[in-house]
Amino acid sequence: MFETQTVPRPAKTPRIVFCALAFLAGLFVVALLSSFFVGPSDIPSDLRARLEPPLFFGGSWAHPLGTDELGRDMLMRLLVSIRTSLLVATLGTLIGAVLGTAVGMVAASYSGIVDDALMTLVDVQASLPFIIIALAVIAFAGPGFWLFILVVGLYGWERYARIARSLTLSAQESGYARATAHLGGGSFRIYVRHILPNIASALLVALTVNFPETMLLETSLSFLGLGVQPPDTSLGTMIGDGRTYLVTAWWIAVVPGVVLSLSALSASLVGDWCRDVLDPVKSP
Amino acid sequence: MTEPLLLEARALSKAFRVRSAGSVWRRLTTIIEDISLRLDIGRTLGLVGESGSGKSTLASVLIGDLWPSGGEARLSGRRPTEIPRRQRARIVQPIVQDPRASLDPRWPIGKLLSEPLEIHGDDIDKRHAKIASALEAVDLPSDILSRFPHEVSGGQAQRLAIARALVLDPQLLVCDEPLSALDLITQTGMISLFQRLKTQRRLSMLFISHDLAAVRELSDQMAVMYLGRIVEIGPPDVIGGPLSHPYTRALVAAAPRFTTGLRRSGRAPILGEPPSHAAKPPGCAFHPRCPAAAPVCRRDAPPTVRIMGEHSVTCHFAQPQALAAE
Amino acid sequence: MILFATGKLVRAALALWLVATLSFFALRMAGDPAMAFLPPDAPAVQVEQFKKKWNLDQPLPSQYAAYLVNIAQGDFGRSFSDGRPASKVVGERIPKTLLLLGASFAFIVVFGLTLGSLAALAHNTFLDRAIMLITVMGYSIPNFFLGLLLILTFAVQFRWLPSSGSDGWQALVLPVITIGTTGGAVVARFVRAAILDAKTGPHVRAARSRGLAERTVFLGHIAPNAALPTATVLGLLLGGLVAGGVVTETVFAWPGVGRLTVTAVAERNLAVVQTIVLLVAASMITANLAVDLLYGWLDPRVRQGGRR
Repeated sequence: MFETQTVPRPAKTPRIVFCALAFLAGLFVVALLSSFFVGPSDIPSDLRARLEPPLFFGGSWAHPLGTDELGRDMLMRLLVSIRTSLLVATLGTLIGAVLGTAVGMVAASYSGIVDDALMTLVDVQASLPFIIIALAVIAFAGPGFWLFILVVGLYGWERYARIARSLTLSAQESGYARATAHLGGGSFRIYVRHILPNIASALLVALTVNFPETMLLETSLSFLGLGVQPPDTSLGTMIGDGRTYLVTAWWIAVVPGVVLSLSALSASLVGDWCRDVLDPVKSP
Repeated sequence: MTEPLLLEARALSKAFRVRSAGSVWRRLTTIIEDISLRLDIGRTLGLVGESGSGKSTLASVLIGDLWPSGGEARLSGRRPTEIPRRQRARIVQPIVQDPRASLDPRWPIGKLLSEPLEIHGDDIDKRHAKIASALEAVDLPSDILSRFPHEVSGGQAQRLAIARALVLDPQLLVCDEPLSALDLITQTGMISLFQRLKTQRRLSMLFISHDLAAVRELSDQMAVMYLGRIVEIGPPDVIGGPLSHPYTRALVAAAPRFTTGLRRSGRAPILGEPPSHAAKPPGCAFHPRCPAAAPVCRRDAPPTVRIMGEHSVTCHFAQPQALAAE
Repeated sequence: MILFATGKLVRAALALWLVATLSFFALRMAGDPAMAFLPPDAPAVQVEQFKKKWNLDQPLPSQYAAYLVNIAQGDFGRSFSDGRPASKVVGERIPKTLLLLGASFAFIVVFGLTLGSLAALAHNTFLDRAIMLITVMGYSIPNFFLGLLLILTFAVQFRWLPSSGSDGWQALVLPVITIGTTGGAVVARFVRAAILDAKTGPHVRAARSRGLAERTVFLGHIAPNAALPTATVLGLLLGGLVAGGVVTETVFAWPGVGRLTVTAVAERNLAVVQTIVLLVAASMITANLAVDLLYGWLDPRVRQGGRR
């Protein structure tokens, strides 16, 4: 949106987007590979090596990123945390996308009361900061990994619902949707096999925008101690832990914080680029 | 017991609630009114009229996309809206003005052509034969199957849309302005294609167009619509002749000469734009534009007069010819 | 206009009722609050007493009815932890939060407008690109991490500003920057796009061809057209502001509603959480209503076109 009207979009992928993509891909690969040899509970704590600084700040090769307050290796914790954060963000993004798209398409296909009811729900959701709802639900349902993913997944569903509804409304008036109906095709065929693929690109753009935001929501909640619970650890819980040792051992918070910021930055850059490529005309 | 008529309309009407500009409330506006027509198997009915005369609405009601507001439509003896979707697809298939839009841009053509058969549960080996025969019927090469809709020309897209309808072996094609998006040469090819389908497949057609010449060439019977009503119905050779409705004669006079295959009767150009459905003139709806309008036209709705045989005209000045000949 | 306003008003009331109902059921169904609040080894008599005290022994529909009547009368129940009215517990935190969010909003507007206009005026220069990169970083960095970095730098390292509390303007600086950076970055990008968009309008070219000074063109013709979309995005930022407040108040131990939310949630203080949810919902819905009505008043097209 920011440049489409004034400057012709460069045909080449900007170098910075390449870097961002490479960083994200690397993150996913590291997360996947690390799951073969390290789990959250098998990081040994070594009380003699507590709060050791990272490599170039007086530390040693034994713990390249230093150790935490229990003498656990920061690098190993970081790998486990990256894995958790990516898992929650990915699943969460998918849940929101599927749910929101379904709601939007259902609202569009049934006009009248169903549509009004669903869209009122969407309006209400859109007018509330999601973190408030998430906090309330999490606290009263108690800690639980899968419930947490579900709650995080609900984030942003109303955006998909709005996009899917408006696109479906116009797509169901389109020639191909009508033609399918005239050939005797049922609603499933019309909506899932014809309309959905045709509106998917805009939803995909919403998905790429949603991913970093979902990641930030997860880490925020975990930072507050209300998300991922020990012994599992996410980037957010690590930063939360490090808060206590900010003065004596800054690296406990800063190392995961930098990784998290870089991931969110990369995801935003990739998201912006996706939007320019897939959806050059309209954007939120 | 004779078979039921393929298509029949009795006093059919359709009204919509329309919100006019600047108003909060929606007003009931009648788009088609008191339409009666019949179509036998193997025959073609041509329907002409200016854009906005309600032709497409009539088609939608006849194929069961819209519920009628009054009167009754019958498709093979049943109300179209009551026939289950899949059964209805085996009886009637619409052919639309913009064929490319009716082909999902993300599906290859082969998949699009086998989709109707997939919906109707035909087995795979039968599908190939049916697709091949449909392609042959519309004169398309089989290598088109691997292409996508945006890779074919407008004429090819229209042929594809027809082939897609033909694989289901329907009895009736409802063609709504199937030619208007095509150039003249493609149109000519298309007309001969429709003619072939009529004779070889014994297909019935409701052929809607504002192109008088094309309709005349294809139809066994023609109907002329003005502001939601049929003002004249009859065999193609009398439509536009001296006994025709003034509106029909004006239409013929307005058509470019090289496409109409018929002598012009009088000049009678139509004056101005047609009024809107929401503000229909009283009496005969055509009177403000009619060169022969008399006071009675402003006051009373005109009667439908049977001129001769199957030729009827709805006009105050129509004269039955059988009487005159005696 | 009256019809339009009534419609919006009804919708807002409906939304509020929906939030109240949803929050009631979500919180009640999510788990047994007695189990959640009392220690797991509490004797059965104590559990009974607790339930009786908070009306938890009655069937759900009658709890719901009592709840609706109570909130209509301004009674939001009592805090489980100290037995004081929840409305009072939350209410006494509001001024501090308003101060923080108000200051942050001002920061967002100033920061966003300045950077955005600068970038647009210096379009395609190094400055433009630098500002754009800063803004991307601005909205990518999680605010809780930004807060920690600010504390590390300005409170721990240089000892210029306090790292927590709410006394004096110094205590306000770091939290405001923490909350405002994300929003400011979004606004800056939006302002830049809006100005670039308005810059290409035919009336701007006409003004320029009349020989008006560049300054006059900008203030008289570009800025007004970029203002309306900017106002829209500022309205949309309110939700983000509240969310940022929750996290930031916790980081800086700011005694506002946000920090109360986190502590209330952590100790499962049902009535307080519910009061906060309703408070936030009511203020957001009111804000949206005000924006909608303002729009309807400014722009007749909005009044007629149904749902946007």
